[in-house]
Formats: sequence, structure tokens, C-alpha cells
Amino acid sequence: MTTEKEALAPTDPRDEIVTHLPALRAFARGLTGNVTSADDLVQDTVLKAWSKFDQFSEGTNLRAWLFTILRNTFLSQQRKRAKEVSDSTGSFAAKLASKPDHDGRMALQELNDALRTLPIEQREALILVGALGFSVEEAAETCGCAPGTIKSRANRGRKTLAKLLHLDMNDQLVTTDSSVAAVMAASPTIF
Amino acid sequence: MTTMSGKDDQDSHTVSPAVAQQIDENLKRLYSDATSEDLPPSLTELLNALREKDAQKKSGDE
Repeated sequence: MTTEKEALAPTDPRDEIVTHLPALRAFARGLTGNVTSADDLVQDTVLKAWSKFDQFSEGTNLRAWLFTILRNTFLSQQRKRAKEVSDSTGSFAAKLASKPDHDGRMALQELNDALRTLPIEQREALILVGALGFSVEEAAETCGCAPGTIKSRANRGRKTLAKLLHLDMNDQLVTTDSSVAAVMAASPTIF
Repeated sequence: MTTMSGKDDQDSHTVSPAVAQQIDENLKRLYSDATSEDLPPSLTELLNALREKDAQKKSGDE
């Protein structure tokens, strides 16, 4: 009984925000593709959230609310330099498509590079649902669209990644990035 | 290729469950650093500064 009361008791979002920062940083890295830009984006998000906490309704989903602020901030920044991003993405996509097959092996860097070629809508859906474990419904709330749209975007993104990374039904996705060697060693059954 | 049917459209963009799972597992690994590492000092300092500012505002209101 006490536990239920505690669970329902309103918590100050100012105290809770810190628990969401690691995932916000990951989402920001996925959107920006750059650690420094990502942390700048998270800082902007924290500042905006802090100034809007009086608009936050207790009992609603703080995580989705914060992720929406980060997403909107990023999209606003992107619009300011849309042409530059469009050009660089296009030329990179062509470069990646001409890459030779690496005997079925891929590095996380390659996955990251391929991810960067996806339209932002597909990339964010994949990061939220695939990488950060959001439910389809929560991702939809974050992105302001229907759950079916998130599913469709994630599926389209996966299909493009599979094509860019030369994956098919028989391929094993093998990471070779040294930075994750320790993680790989800790869970050798996955790959 | 876009069709009028949402279902057909979605189905035409679906990879096998095995490939989807492999991609998602790798995406988790790609972002595992960001979700597990300590917050940068700049971010914790920002939070402290915002809390301090709020505390000063509150004490000023009282």
C-alpha cells in the first residue's frame, strides 16, 4: 500500500531529470553524430526544460517530454543548416554504397556511419526503439506521431541499414570496433 | 515504393526478425558508452547552477 502511494506520489522533475540524462546524451549522439555537439544539445535541452518545468504536468511522461524538447531543439538547429547537411549526407551515402564487402564483418563505426545516412525520422525511431528500449507508444509520444508511423519508420530504417551493410538473412552482424571489445567479451553469446 | 495501403507499405520495408534483432543489438552497443559513462562536468555544473539559482529565488521570495 505504501509502495503504491510512493509510486504515485509526485516527484519534482528537477530532481528526476538527472536520471534521464544518460539516455538523452545517447539520443543526442545519435541525432548529431558528434559527442561535443551532443553534449551541447543536452545542455540546451536542460536549460529549456528547466525554464518550462512550470508547464510540465505531473504524472505525465517526463522522459518523453524531455526527449521531445531535445528533438525539437535539434530539428530547429538542423533547419538552420539544412542545405549543408543535405549535401554532406548525399555524398557520404554514395561513398558508403560503393564500399566493398568486408567478409560479412562490420564495425560499429560502419553502423554509425550508415545510421547517419538515414532520414532523421528513421534514425530517431531506430535509436529510441532499437537502441534505448522505448516502447513504440513512448517513441510515438516523443516524436508526435502515431505508433504505426514509428514502427514503419524503424522498419524502413532497418531495411536501409541491412542494405547498406550488406546484411541478409544468413549474415551475422559482427562488431569489430575495439572500443566495444570489453562489452563483446562480456556477452559473447550474442555475436 | 509507396502504396496506398499502409500495411503493404510497411510490409515492403520489413527485414527478417533475425536481422532486425541483430541491428537493434548493435544499436544498443553503439550507444552503450553514452548511457553508462559518467556525466560530463559541464552538465553537472549546469544542473548545480540551476538548482542554486532556484534556491536563491525561493529564499528571495520568502
